Amino acid sequence: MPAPHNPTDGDRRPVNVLQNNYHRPNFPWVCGNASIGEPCWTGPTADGACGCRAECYPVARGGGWTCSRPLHRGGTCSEGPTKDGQCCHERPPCVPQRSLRAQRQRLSYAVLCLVFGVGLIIYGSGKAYDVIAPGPLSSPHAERLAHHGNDRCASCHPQAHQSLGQWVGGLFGTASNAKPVTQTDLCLKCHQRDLCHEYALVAHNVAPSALAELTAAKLNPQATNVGGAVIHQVSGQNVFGSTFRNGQPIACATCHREHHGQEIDMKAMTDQQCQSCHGQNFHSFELDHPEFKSWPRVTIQGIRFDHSTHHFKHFPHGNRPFECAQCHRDDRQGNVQQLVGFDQACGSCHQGKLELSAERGFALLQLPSLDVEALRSSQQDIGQWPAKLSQDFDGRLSPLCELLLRADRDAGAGLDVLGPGFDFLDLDSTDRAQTVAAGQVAWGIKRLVADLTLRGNDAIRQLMQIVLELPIDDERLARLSQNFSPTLVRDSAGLWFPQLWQEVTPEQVMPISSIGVELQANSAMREPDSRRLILPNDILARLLQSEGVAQDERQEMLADNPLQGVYGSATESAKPNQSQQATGPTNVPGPVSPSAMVPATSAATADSQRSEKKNSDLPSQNAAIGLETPSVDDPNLLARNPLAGYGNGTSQLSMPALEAPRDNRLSSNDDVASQSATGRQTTETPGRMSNQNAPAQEPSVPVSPIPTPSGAGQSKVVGWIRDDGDYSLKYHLQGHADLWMKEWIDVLIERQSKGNPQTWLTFAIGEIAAPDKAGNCLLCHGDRVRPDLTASVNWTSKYRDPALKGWTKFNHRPHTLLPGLSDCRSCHQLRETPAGQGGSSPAVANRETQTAGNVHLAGFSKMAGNSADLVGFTGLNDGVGHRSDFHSLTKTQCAACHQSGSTRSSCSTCHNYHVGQRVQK
Amino acid sequence: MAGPMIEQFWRRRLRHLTSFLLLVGVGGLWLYWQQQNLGRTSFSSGYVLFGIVLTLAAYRLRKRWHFLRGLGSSSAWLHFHIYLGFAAFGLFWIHLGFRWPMGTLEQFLATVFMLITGSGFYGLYLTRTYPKKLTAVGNEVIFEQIPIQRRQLVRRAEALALDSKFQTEILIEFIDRRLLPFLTRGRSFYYLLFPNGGTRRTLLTEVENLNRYLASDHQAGTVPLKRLIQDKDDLDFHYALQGRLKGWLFVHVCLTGVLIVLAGLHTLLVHVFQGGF
Repeated sequence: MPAPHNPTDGDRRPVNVLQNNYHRPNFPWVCGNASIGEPCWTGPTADGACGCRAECYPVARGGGWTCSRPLHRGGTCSEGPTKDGQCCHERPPCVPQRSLRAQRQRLSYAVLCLVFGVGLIIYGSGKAYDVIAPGPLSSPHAERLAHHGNDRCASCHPQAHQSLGQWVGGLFGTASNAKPVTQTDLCLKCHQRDLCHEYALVAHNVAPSALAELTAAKLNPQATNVGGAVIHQVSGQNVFGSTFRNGQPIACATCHREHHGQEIDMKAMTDQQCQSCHGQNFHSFELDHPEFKSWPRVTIQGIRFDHSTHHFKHFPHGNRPFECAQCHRDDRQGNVQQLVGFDQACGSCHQGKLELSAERGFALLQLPSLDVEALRSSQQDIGQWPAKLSQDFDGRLSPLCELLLRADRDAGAGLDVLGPGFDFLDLDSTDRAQTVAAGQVAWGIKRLVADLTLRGNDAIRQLMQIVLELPIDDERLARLSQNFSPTLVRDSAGLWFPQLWQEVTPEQVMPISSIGVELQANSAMREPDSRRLILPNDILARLLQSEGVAQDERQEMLADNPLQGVYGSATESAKPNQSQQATGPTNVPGPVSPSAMVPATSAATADSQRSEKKNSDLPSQNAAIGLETPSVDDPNLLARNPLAGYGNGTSQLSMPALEAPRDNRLSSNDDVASQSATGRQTTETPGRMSNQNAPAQEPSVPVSPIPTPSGAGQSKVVGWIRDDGDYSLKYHLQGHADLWMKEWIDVLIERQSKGNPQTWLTFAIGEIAAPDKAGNCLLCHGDRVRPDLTASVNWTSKYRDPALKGWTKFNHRPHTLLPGLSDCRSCHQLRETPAGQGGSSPAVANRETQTAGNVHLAGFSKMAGNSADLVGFTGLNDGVGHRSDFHSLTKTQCAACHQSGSTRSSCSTCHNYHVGQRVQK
Repeated sequence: MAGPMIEQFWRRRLRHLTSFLLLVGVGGLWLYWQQQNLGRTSFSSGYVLFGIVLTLAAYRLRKRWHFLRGLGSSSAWLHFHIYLGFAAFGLFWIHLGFRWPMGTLEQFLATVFMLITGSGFYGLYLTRTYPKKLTAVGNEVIFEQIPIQRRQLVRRAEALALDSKFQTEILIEFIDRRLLPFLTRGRSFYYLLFPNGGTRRTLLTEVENLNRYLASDHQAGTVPLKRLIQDKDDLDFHYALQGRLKGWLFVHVCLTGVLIVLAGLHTLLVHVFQGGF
């Protein structure tokens, strides 16, 4: 038994020699001869060299060398080591092999290096983004970014342009302190038109306060018509920082996960996603979805059509079948049932009534009949008033006239006393307040006529802006005036108020207008008795002077004034001082100021007498300045009409009717608003003078042949007409879809929807557009709320605003393809109103409700106090208070097909997540 | 003695299994809670998965570095490793949303993960089934010493050939032509894949047939030949099965580093390119 080996005595043998022959698999090297079954007993060295070149490693002992061959290898040899300590039994060296563990380790390193190498190659090739992209983009995004190359990642990922160091730094918050651009920001950069931008990142794109209101309404046990499910008041928070509490922003990527391939519908949502916020969870539509309370939701229809009455009464009476397809057509998307046009759907029955209404015309100006003597006896001298209208009190002001008069301070005060729509027949001549008001109104009418004469469309614009507090741009003015010409009013003034320019000075026309202010300032410099007849050229001359136009140029322009020769020569007009000297400053009768009439009775009487004297002197005065005083009874008046060259020079001007091509007709199913404001060219009827014969005073307003409405082939008067029979200036409507009427209703309703509605404004709207009035428009056209919270009339049949997404959606097309649902009435069942029982259909009831009090503006007035947050989802257009012509659908009808496992019945099948107003594309 | 050991084994397994299921349940509820709140479970599951992978990889360090033995025995680590492996596999699919990824990098990462996980499952199967098969062979063989034992068999065959009792031409020819090649050569790749006793039976049949040509006093010489054939076949069987027991680790271990590196890169990228705020 050899002595145990002491490793501290300079033994050079490998470690495993000191142990035994047991193989150590954790050693990195094994003997090269092991594979043939004859490994050496020492094994390789730690660095992989052969460790067994001899039988043993001699040990220095006692000054010499001793053999150390172990017993299992034969023990100490007889020869012993050499003198230099080498074994005398040398062995051929082997080539050590790596152990399995070492091979695994090397392979691990090799694979790792391979991956790094491939990564570097990819990085260098510029295809890195292709490799790290988690998957193909969805089709819409892929198409949009197809040509962006390597920049396409940066289109959605703001960090795409950063370096690797910045990426790592960003993880540990070492990036810039500036608010970084997020991916959601980049999403909204492209999708800003699809969402209500203010609340784009809030749940349902609805203001949190509005959502809270809806939730509260839903939780209210008294609520009967509130759809939707309860929202969690407090939601969870992701441990990694993403918050989903109410009101907190929700990133787009929370629901819309990209890089899942082209076929993936990013908009598809799971029920679980919906119900993660909704406290009232449903297992399936058919099992526990709440029953419909009112669906399809009753909306204020674009066209108020009484289906029940037409179905059960009118059509049977006309022995005609009531077919849905007569009016409803599938649109291209199949989303809604589109309506055909008025001519096709309604014209056969309603065209005649509309034409009758249109032919009556709508008065812009209509003089009431006033008992001049009675007013005078009440110390209210209204000056000259048409003789035919001076016998007694009668008549009303037209609503538009009343509207414009409200821009006049005195006339407005008088109208406030009399009230809107006052019938002068009811005027109590013993009531001083009423007589004073009547006088104020009468003088206001004169000033209005004078203002319209002087400024025409500009007067309309300014008066409208004052009264309605709305800006009236040129386009709108063109639509409101429809080629209204001051010439028409001038002629009317000459006929109705021959002494107008003696009674009314430009200073009194519109004191608040710039012209009035300017003239007032100038008149203050004149002598008190220098009142004289101010001619249009006088005003024009002052305007040009105030604008710094040179005198020569001013005279040249005045010489071109088309009004010269009508009221005086240009020379005289351009030289007011000379004219003034020629006529004599004190001999020219001046107008009687209404304000001067109000004081003491004696003074008023004296003024009245002086006025009469002046009026009697007027012809001679006018003759002195070269102006003829027109008279209603003057048979040569029309012969002197400067427009006579356009007609026959008599009062019975006429022109052959212009028959417009059928294609130019305004079709009722077209968007009326989309039509350009075009001028009107009308024909004349005997006894009426139209401005169409006047040369165009407003070159900015285009003139084009007016289309005649339905019934082509018949002569039809459309446009401005002066009716001397009832002393009015009227606009004869085209019939259905008249642009003039539409614009007036629009502007009035726009003002109404601004809030603080005035009684007179409501009255005016009612007088113009109410079902039983001339316009007759709101009989069928409903109201809607615009994105800016202003209300408007639904002029088109497309009552559904494509930019407004509600809580629910429905696509008719896949449903109507089913044989059982091809008939609309399979789902939309009319509420039947038994004939002869005095019942009214829901639509009629709605109309009756709305017309009560002559308002008819339920939708317009109710929205004035609502906040913008509620637009689009609280039912402003939902017809609250309306009743549908049809029975509400039941859940059972839908659940017959929409069941789990058969037809889609997920939340998003019928519900929208993103609701509210989108920006119109 | 065996009874208490079996009882201890099942108690330990039950304890580990219960702990594992408890952790899985808690993790599942956590993820479900996040999902119910529109949370991005891919982030939380990804981080947990990355942590599990690192823990699984640490088992190799525990085996290599003895100073870590204070963290538990290698056997305990192996149990932990196995249970965590199962958890990682489930969490992996939750992380992917039970959908194979579509990106190149992610596909490669998922492939590496699946290779490691698959090799782990295979190794688990081998370590649970092959020991019984090897034990059934009857003798304990160390894989690294198989060449030595194979060499010893050759020497035994050579010794038989030189023995005077077997000095018959028939036996010598058989040893030289059939036995020694069988003893010295390795087995085919097919045998390594599907170890079988076909060659063994063939050779034994041939030895049996030699008796018809041997004298009765020489027939006893075929017995050691049969023994050599059986021992060599047993060695080959050990070599094939133990080779598998060691071979799966080449996949399982060698790809671990790649998986960790790619997972780290993936973590960086998803944070940089995440779609949230």
